Amino acid sequence: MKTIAIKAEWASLSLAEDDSPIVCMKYNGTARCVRFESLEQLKQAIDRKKVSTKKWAIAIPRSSCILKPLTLPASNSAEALTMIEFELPYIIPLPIEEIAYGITLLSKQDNMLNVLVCILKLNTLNEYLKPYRAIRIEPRMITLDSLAIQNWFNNANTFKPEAVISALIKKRQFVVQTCIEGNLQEANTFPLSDQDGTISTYEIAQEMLHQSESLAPSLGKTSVFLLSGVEKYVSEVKNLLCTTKRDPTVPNRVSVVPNPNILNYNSDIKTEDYDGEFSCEAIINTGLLDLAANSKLPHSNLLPQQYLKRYEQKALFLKYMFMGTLVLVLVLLVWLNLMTVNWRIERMSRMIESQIAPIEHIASAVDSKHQRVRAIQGQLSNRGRITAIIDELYRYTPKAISISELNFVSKHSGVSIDIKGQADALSTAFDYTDAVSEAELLNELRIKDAQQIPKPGGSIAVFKAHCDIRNK
Amino acid sequence: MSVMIASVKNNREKVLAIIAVSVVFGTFIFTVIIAPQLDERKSRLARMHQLQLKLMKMRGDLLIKDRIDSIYSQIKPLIVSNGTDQQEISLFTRELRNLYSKLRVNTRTIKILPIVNEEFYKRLSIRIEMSGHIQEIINFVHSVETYHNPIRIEQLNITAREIADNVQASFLVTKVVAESET
Repeated sequence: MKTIAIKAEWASLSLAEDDSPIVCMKYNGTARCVRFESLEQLKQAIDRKKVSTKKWAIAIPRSSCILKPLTLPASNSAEALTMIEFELPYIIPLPIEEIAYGITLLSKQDNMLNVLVCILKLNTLNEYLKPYRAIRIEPRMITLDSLAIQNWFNNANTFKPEAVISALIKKRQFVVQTCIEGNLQEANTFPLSDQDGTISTYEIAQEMLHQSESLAPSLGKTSVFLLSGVEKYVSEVKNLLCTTKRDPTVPNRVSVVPNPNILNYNSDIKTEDYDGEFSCEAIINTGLLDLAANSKLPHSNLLPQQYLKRYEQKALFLKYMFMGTLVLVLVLLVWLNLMTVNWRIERMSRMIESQIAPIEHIASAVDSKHQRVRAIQGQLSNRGRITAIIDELYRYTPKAISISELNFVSKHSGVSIDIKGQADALSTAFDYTDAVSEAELLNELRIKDAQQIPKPGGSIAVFKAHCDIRNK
Repeated sequence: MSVMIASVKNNREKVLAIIAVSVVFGTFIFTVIIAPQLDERKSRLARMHQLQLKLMKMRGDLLIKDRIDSIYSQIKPLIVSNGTDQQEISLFTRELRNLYSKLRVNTRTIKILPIVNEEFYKRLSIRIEMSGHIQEIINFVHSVETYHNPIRIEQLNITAREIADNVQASFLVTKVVAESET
């Protein structure tokens, strides 16, 4: 037998009157309800990955909760929820550890919020969740079924009127709800059969009209009547509403919302006609899935605070783990990059070494010879230079000048001489530069210091000169 | 660590805690993982550059091999090593003495300077101070500059004395002694 396999982040789950579980998940972009024969079958489907989801949402009957309207000086629902924690001891005489609570917005006036506090005993909640926990399903969202129904009717109605009176008609009971500006105001559940067993659709129509009339006149005249559930009763109620003489405008405001399709897990994606038997659960599940998946009414979640904190911590831990892993991967990549660079450098070095190896011996022999040759050549170069310099000095020095000291220095930068001498006059000393200008080796003789010194019977000029030697 | 950060309620403190943890973690990662690799890269690059220079130099040496061989064969008679430094210095002083002994000069001091050892040769240096007639000093210079061994005057200082044509001279004479190829 071929069965469908659905994978989604969120799934909503409820048990029908015959204890068959109805699961609603997004499949091919639209929410689909799948009916399983039993919880055991659902468990098998989960184990075989036919149904794969991370988060489950479950709706709690409104009748199981203690509901208390409150007006709080809060700007938003999150602030109101924080305030409720301090108000709880005055609302219910139970320790906070033994209850789960949530809020839904009723209306907002200036800086005051009217909220409906939903309180659920943990014992009741645990009792309700027992069959789900038996197949290892731990819900991440628990909310009132009436909120899920309201959300479904809101989504089904494209006109978005200010006030909506909706009726969900089941086989044995019906729920009539009033919703203003998208916020659930009132929800009442009534048995559908009288004491003698006859079905009273008239009661439904009367209750809807009554709720419409109890609204402010401006809202009551524009409110929309939405019907869904068992088709036979729905059409009867519609006829009754359309023929009512209490308000002639009602027929124009009545609409029937088609029930969601239900698939049978055993028969692939073929839609089963259950004659509206499971339509109520499908409606609740579809509305609930939309609430959960789109994080609508997050403060209505009746999941106990310790579970919520645990999930938050887990999510935070996963986030940090992800970030940590990302950082580690980045570090690893950087490290690998550097390793690769080092490896490439090493490879190039080896390549150069392999080129060096065959020529190393010959090249080092050449190098050693070269160094010796250079040293010897350097030593032998410019031989006879000093003799030639002295010869040029002898030839080009004027008779009036006598040299008292000659200093010859040979450096890597070149050869130079420093001269100390005497002349009969300062002008003769300075003419020395011109006198050696035609010399081959003596290049630009510069008088650095010259002074006239008195002597008995006259004076002499003492000077210092520097001269660079030309290379031959 | 993440739980610790999560337990911090104040947003500012949380940001500071995250920054502190990030800085410590970043420093640790850099010190333990990144920095050693960077150092390794630096040393390997330096080694590779050295090898590249060595290769270039060797290729250059190969290009001039024939020319060097030719010159080397010409100067080979000058490349004679006579043994220890002591022996070399002894020979060098003897050679110098031979050069000035025939001249009429007064040798004042002979100072042996430290030997400079290069890779394939060594440089011996001697400072000599002498006095005498200028012509004799010039003759000594000439005899050094025409000596067959690689001897060279690096520095020369000639100062006139009171006596006519008599000078005092100071020489720094060097000699290169290359070891022959093994």
